[in-house]
Amino acid sequence: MPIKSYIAYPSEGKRQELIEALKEFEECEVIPSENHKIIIVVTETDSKEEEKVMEAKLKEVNSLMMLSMVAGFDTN
Amino acid sequence: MYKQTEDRRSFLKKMAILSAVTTATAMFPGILFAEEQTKNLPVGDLEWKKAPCRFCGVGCGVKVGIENGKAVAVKGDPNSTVNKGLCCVKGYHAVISMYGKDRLTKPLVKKNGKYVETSMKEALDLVASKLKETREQHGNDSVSIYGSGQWTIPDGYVASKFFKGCLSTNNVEANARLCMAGAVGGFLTTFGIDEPMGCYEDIDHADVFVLWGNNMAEMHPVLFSRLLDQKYKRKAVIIDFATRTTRTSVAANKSILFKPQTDLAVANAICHEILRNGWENKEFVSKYCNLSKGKTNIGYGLEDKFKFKEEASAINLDEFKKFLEDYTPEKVEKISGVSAKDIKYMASLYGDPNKKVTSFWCMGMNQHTRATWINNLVYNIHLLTGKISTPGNSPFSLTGQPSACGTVREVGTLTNRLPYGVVMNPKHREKAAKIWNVPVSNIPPKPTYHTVEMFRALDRGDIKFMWIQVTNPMVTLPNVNRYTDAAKKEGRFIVVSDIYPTPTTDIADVILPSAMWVEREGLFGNSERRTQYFEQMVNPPGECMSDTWQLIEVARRLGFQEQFPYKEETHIEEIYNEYRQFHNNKKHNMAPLEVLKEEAGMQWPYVDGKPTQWRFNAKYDPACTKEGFDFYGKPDGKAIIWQRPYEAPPEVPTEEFPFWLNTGRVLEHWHTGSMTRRIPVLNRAVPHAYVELNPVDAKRLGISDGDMVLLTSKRGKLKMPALINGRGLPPVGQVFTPFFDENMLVNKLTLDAYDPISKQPDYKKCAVRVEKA
Ligand code: SF4
Repeated sequence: MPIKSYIAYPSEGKRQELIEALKEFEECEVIPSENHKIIIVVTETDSKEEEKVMEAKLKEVNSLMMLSMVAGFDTN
Repeated sequence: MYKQTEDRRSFLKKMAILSAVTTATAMFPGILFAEEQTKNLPVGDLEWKKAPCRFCGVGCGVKVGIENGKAVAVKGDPNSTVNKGLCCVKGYHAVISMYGKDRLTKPLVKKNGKYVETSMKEALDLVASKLKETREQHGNDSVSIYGSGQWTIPDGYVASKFFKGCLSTNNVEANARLCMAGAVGGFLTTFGIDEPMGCYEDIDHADVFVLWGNNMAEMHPVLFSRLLDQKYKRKAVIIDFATRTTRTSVAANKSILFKPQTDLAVANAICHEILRNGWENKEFVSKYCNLSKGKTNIGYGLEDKFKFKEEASAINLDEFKKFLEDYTPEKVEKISGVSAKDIKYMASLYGDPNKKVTSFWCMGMNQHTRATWINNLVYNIHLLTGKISTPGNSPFSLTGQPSACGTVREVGTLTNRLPYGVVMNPKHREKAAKIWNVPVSNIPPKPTYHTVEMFRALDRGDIKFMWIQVTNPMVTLPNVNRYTDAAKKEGRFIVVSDIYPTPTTDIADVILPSAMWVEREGLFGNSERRTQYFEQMVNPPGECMSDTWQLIEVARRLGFQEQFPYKEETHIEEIYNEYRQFHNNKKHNMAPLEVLKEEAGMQWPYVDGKPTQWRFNAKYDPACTKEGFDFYGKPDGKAIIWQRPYEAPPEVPTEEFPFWLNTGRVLEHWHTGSMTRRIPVLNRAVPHAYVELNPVDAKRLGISDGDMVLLTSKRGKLKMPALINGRGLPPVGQVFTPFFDENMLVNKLTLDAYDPISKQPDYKKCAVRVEKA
């Protein structure tokens, strides 16, 4: 059951759009910075397969410029 | 807050958030997050103890969280000036690499082709008796030890003392020969003394960063985040000068690509432009520099027992200018593929008296058949402009391994070196013999084999016994097939100390299970001359024993109790204090252990209770004996500007092998992956090696992303999947592959040519054929 945290960089001028888009994902906890454009994203999925599907969907979000993984754990 | 009873999942989630918050805080100082989202952080009640990170040469300070005798978490140490609380993805997961399912916990001895478990006592008895028997039958130089830049300082120190001082052989080498020897060659020839003059604080002062063949975003990620921070905060400019497009290029202000090996020509062209425009710092050059030229057409070390001797002679500035006429930007554009405009732009950055410039490099310049030369040439640029040894002005050679500097370079675990000086110097031998309590005649005055030659000697049978500790040469040696076959030959006896099975333990006669990182006490030294201590935090599993103690046990079995009298409880302190005697001078004094136990590391020279941040500058360095700058590694205090030409590499693409092959690392894996491939999240991120191709080449060859590709060089063949438009993009005619995957050994293809001066092999260029498999 993978848990990962990322720093997400929005595309120019699309920060709010990105926050909204990320919040749509059930598996994501979104922690926007109060005073900076970056957003912390924590993902929690039930299996590696689910995680892969979610990662692929995240990559489709066009307000997302870059996602950089910081930590990852598997609770199994 | 964390409690024993708390759900593990919620604990890990908090750790993941904590890691991200810490990373963000370090990257963007002053950044804030809503209190309700972070109030339950950090995860409490664990016992946090400080250590340097296990992995790379950046040397981040970390805190290791201990629970019930197990290391369970890592976070960045906010007190460390290296990383200011930040870690990269490898650092955060370092503790997981200690608990892989296939961890070696019992000694194994090969009997009738099969490994049989034995006790540590018996295994060490066998190692000692084989060592003794081999020396008696074949002489002192038939035995050898091969370690690494992941050896702790005490490991390397006792290895050198045992082999050089007690066993009377200079057959001591370490894998840093494969990664840092060119840097050492550059330092010694230009400054007469090893290791960078600057420190990471240069990052906070520089206006321009020029990265010479250094994919910092993946190889030195925490330092790179500090560069990016300066780019955003102070509009510092980052120039990525490289042979392929990487994550570093994308984040830089400008990416400039050059053809392999032609960095030599471009560096000369930059000097040409600096002098043509009168941008040189005339006073600095006349007061603090000499000019020299050396031998040319120096060969590539491809033949066994290759020899090289430098012949240097003084030149003057006019002669140097005349030499540089062959390196006008327009002429160099033709060799390098770098436009004259870009060359002039780089020269203008270095030449601008109002800009502070720091150059960073690592394997791109060091794994080079002209490694010493290209190091010299980048120093030339900084010396001509006087941009050196002042905050923000720094030619900065980075290291890859956590203690390539601290152990291999400072302790001197190379055939020609001693902890102070070189074996060729009678005074240095006398000093070593006195501290080691051995007769001076024990230490042979001549170096024997550097790394590639050491393995060639094993192949020839000149070396019969080899002890390999904390490194994986059967993955990392260039042209590795030759050396794997060599190790398996009749009459060779190989001992391997490691923590997991690897292709190197596969060739061992005895495998000794080692204690890893915080399972023992030790010290590392990073790229900026920072020595860092770590205590033993947890017990090693099974019969695992530190490499230091393994060596001491064997030395004692051979009768050297007097030289190795240390008590088990205090041996690291005793060894460190003995070792410090070698550097008891203003140029290299090391901080006492009590200081290192308290602080997140300390830089040497440590004089009068203070570290030295910038060497050779009288304002900061107490070892200087004159005003201004004092390059005291040279007798007259002057650094050398070297005249070095561009010379082609030994192997270039041909009709039969039309592609350049470049090799290297990826962010997620440490070196050969023996540790990081046991960290599930990292292994899943990059589960196997691949070959990066330019989409134009891929289309022409009918190769799609993920297709299997056959790479063939004159030395071997290898199949691996294609990666097109992945994280790196090689130019047309070049391919790149990482070397971490023991199932796809790219070093079957690479060439064992090396830099004749430093003996460092070149892993960045050889010729291959590329076909759809
Ligand atoms: S940058 Fe290097 S030293 Fe720092 S955490 Fe990452 S691997 Fe460890």
